[in-house]
Parts: sequence; C-alpha cells; structure tokens
Amino acid sequence: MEKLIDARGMECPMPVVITKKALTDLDSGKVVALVDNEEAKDNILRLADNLKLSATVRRQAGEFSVEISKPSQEKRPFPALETSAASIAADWVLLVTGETIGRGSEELGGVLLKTFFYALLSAEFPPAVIIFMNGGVKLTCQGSPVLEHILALQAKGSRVLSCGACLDYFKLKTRLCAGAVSNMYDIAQTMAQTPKLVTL
Amino acid sequence: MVSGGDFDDAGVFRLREDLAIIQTLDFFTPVVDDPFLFGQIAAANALSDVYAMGGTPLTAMNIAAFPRCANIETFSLILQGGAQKIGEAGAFLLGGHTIEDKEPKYGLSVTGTVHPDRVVRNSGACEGDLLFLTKRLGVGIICSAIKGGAVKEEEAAAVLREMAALNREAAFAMNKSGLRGATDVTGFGLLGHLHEMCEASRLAAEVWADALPVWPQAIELAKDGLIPAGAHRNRDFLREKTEFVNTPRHLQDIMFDPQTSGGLLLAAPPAKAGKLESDLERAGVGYAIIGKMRTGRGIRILDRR
Repeated sequence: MEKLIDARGMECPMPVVITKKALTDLDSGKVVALVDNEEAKDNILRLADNLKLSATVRRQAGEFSVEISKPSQEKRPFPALETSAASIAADWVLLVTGETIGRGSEELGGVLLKTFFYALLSAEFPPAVIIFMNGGVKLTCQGSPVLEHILALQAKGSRVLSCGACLDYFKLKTRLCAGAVSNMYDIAQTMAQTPKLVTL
Repeated sequence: MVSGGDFDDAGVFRLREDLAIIQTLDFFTPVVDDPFLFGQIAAANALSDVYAMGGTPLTAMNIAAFPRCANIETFSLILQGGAQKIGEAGAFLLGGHTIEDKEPKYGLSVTGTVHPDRVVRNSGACEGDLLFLTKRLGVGIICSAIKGGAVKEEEAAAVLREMAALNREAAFAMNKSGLRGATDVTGFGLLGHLHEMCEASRLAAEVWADALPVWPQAIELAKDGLIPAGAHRNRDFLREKTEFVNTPRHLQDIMFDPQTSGGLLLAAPPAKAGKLESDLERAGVGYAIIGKMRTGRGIRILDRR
C-alpha cells in the first residue's frame, strides 16, 4: 500500500504529525510526504530515523518528496497508539504504596521495583489503572527511576493516578511528570469497582 | 528606568524615591482546548513579566478577542480562568476590552510595583553567576503536538498544570536572596532569553545539557522530529551566537523551543546560590542549576558541568 500526504503549505510540526499518523495506521507499505520547506523535510527524516525506517528524499523545484517504507513484519517497529479493547480486557488495578518492593533491604527493594515495572511493560495486559500513594508518588515525579516505564505504560493505555494529598505532603506537586492528580474519593471508587486489585 | 533597549520583560517607571511601577502586556491565541485552563495559562504568563522584574502585581486589565458566533460560555470560562490567577497573585482585576475576531485571543495588561533599588533586570547578571531555571522545558513542543492531535490533553495534564502555575514563589525566593539578574523564559526559548541576558549584561554563558529540566514527553516528540516552526525560527536567529559541543539534536531543539508561561531564569552569585536553593526548596518550587555566566560573548552548550 502507498499513501500520499500533501503537507505543502503546512507549518511545523504538522507535516510530521500527519506523517507519523499515516505510518502508525499503515500495516506495511510506503508513505510519501510532499513538503515545501527544508525543516519539514529534515524533521520527517528524523521521524523515520527514530522509527528505524528507511527513507529517501527527492527534490524538485523547491519541494521535497520524502518516501518512507514500512516493511511488513510481526514485530512492528513501534506500538499502535490507540488503546485497543483487548489490551484492557483483563481489567486490573495496581496500587503502589512505596518506592520499593517488600521488606528486608531497601536497596534490593528498589531494584525489584525497577525490574517489576520493566517486566510490566512487556506484559500482555498492562494494568487499566495504576494508583500511586504515600511514598509511591515519588515514582511519578521528576527524578523517578521508573518514570520512563510509567510513561510507556501510560502510552499503552494505563491510567496513572497520584494521590494529591501525598504529593502535597512530599511537596512534589510541581514535579509531577506522569498522569493525573487524584483524590481519595476517586481512588476508593476505582478500587471498589475493579475485579482485581494488586497492591505493591 | 527601564524601556525597550535591553530586551527586558516589562517597562519600569519611577514615581517616587521609594516607588516605581512596572507595566507589561501579553496576550495570545489558545494553546490548549480547555478554556478555563487557557485563561489561567495566559494570565500566569502575563503576570510573570512583573515577577521577573522583581515586582508585585497590583492591577490587571483583560485584553481579549472572540468570534461573534462562538459559544459565550467558552469566553466566560477563559475570563474566569484569568480572574482566578489574578486573584491568586493578589492583584485586582479592574476591567478590560474585548474585540471581535475570527480567532480567540486572551491576555492581560498588568501593572506592578517595585522599589526602584530592587528592580531585577536582564542586564543584572555578573561573571560567575549560576543560572537557575524554575520550570521544565519542552512545553511548546508538547502543546503543538496536542494541537496536531499527536498527544492527548489529558496525557499532558502535569505539563499544563505547571504552565498555569504562577512564578510568584520563584520570584519571592529570588527577591529574598537579593538577586539582580533574571528574566522569564517564553517565546524565544531558553537560549533566546539567555542570549538577551548575555547581551544586556555584556557577558557570555555556558549551559550544561545534562542539567536541563525537560519534560520526558518533549524528549520523545523531539526525537520524532515534532518541532514547532517557532523553534526553527529561534534556531535561525541564534545560529551565530550558540555553539553546541556534543549536544544531541533533540536537546538542541528543546533549548530553542518557544515556551508559553515558562519559568524564571535566575542569575545567582555563587555566594547567594545556597540560600536561593533552600528558599526555592522550602517554597516547593522545582528548579535546576543549568549553567553559569562567563566573560566574553555568545552561549556555549557543554554536555555536562
């Protein structure tokens, strides 16, 4: 399949936004983007590079056509953006109450937590909601060792909630990087409604 | 006392030996869909110019444009968002003016007060001063991705919250530490505003790329090439004035990214830096020390301190 995008006359970042969307929607084939300025061309090439897709540029009369090929393969170079119903079929809620897992050694607990979130990323069914309370809210804030994983889970469709009172207590409200601030009412409702609540 | 020459954030006029007024005006088109939040962000952005000059906002006037056929409820929410921020700043909303226009616009004209000896300026930085930045970078990239539909507004809730936050606490800490050089980071991006500070202070600066506070979402978007046109314009303008040493391309773009309602960029003499840090921490203001002022001209971006 080949898809042609005419992004001439558009201001950055729109040419990249629509090219990215076209690539996401496409299972395999080619996307050809027409742009009329150097920056848009460079930015689309960076997109292709970051997605590890091959791209070629043709220049004609001050315009550029950038052709990006997406090979058909089981392992797609990036996950689909939409939250499919299947991915939240096994509806479960994860409650994180601290920065570590278990008791015995703080250091080991931190390592375990990091590994846990890493493993969660490749799980077939990521949690529908992840709730962070008490010291757990440090994980959704600037400087968290698992922030990247949490953002990736969010991109996969998990809702991320941090307890507002806890953020206030640790003076972290201005440093929150992932998800939304929540309150005990919402948190209690979410817990009460889920068939499966897992507490860390 | 202060007018256009040194690219300061607002004008300052001395009324008495012990009293000067600061005047500023800023308005723009919606950066987010949520009208109340847009009102908050636009107001926080306009009020910030007074904070950046070391002043206290006293009065504000709305300046707005709105399409004739659009929902009046939306317009009302924009004004309510602005009024909430004016109230939070302890200033008084005196009125305003609205015209009819195809695209909505909103902002404030703000008047503040300051002691003439305590005006904080672009030109007040000294050699060896450490540079503090009090909000995270990349909001222009994130907002343009929201506008383009590549990011959902809910996913960026924390980013938008920080945009709507006043620079009041940061400015309070700045004044308590007696700093003389500061600006706020807005449309010209971090490097654009730092360049203005360098020019006005007749100095150079170095920036440590690994110390920059950046929204993680902006890093991902920048790597994908989702860079707003304004960032390209800033880069073109500053091409001769900036030198990057091993800086990844996406971080360069983030340093040129136009910020809406960005943080304060503070120049703190090393002797005052410790107190500033503890004051910022006590006030719950996030900050990073991102570089320092040097002799010479231009900005050099190193990968680390």
